[in-house]
Amino acid sequence: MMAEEDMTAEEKAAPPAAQVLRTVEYCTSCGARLLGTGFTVFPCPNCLENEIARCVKCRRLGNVYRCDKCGFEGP
Amino acid sequence: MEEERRAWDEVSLLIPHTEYLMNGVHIGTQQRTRYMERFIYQVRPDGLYLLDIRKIDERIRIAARFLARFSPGEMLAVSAREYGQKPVSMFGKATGANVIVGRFIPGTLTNPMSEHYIEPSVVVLTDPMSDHQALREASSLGIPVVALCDTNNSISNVDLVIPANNKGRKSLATIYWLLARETLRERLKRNGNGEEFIFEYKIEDFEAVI
Repeated sequence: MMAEEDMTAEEKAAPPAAQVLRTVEYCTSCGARLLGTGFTVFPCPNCLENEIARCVKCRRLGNVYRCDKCGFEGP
Repeated sequence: MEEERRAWDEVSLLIPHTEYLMNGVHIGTQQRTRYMERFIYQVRPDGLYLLDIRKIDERIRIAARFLARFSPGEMLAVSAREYGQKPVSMFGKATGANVIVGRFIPGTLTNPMSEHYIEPSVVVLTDPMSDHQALREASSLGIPVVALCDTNNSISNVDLVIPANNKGRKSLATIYWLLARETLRERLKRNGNGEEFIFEYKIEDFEAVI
């Protein structure tokens, strides 16, 4: 879990739902760095082992993500 | 060959193939979006797009596995659509999820001063088009969104699509019944006692009354 001193002011102010356990730093679809708010990180819906990260732009455009472990393609 | 395929379907699907067909879960619309093409099986002569039942079934399993990972209080199911209100309420009753039916009051997810404020970890939408306010708030906060999408829906800001007819009364009842049953089954499986599972509701219990 992210230490509190590592959080930005914006992340501290955000509600707990947005303070995701962030072990991945880059978008699974496009490789962009996850910055600001609006991105999401969740476990792969199929295998629940790998973490999927989606940046704001890929979420908005509905870009496809693929799990490295099980090969699941979403959304 | 066709019979073999049918027999295989009967074994591998969550409910019999005919029950999916009778409840119209696979019936789409006369429009289709580019993303939803991958879930479309064929086009009827009258122009209606039909969804692939195997893909619907597979996605329901995947969504249930995903939802079972969250505790009941962390889930939020939303339906502004009238025929979706009873199924969503029953889904909430069966799984313990939070439920918002009818009008989604703006600020429910984003305004801590609101009396309706809640902080879910995952949101389930009946229709991304009619539940656009919930979709917008969830996406701005980075909450994963699971949504029932028909052939005419945009999948913008949706993180997991369940392709299905999200307009029919029976179809919505079937989808939410399956989703509730599989979520509970997966939850028990995670706790190590999935084999003793008996689901107390019937599909009819989830159907909106006309």
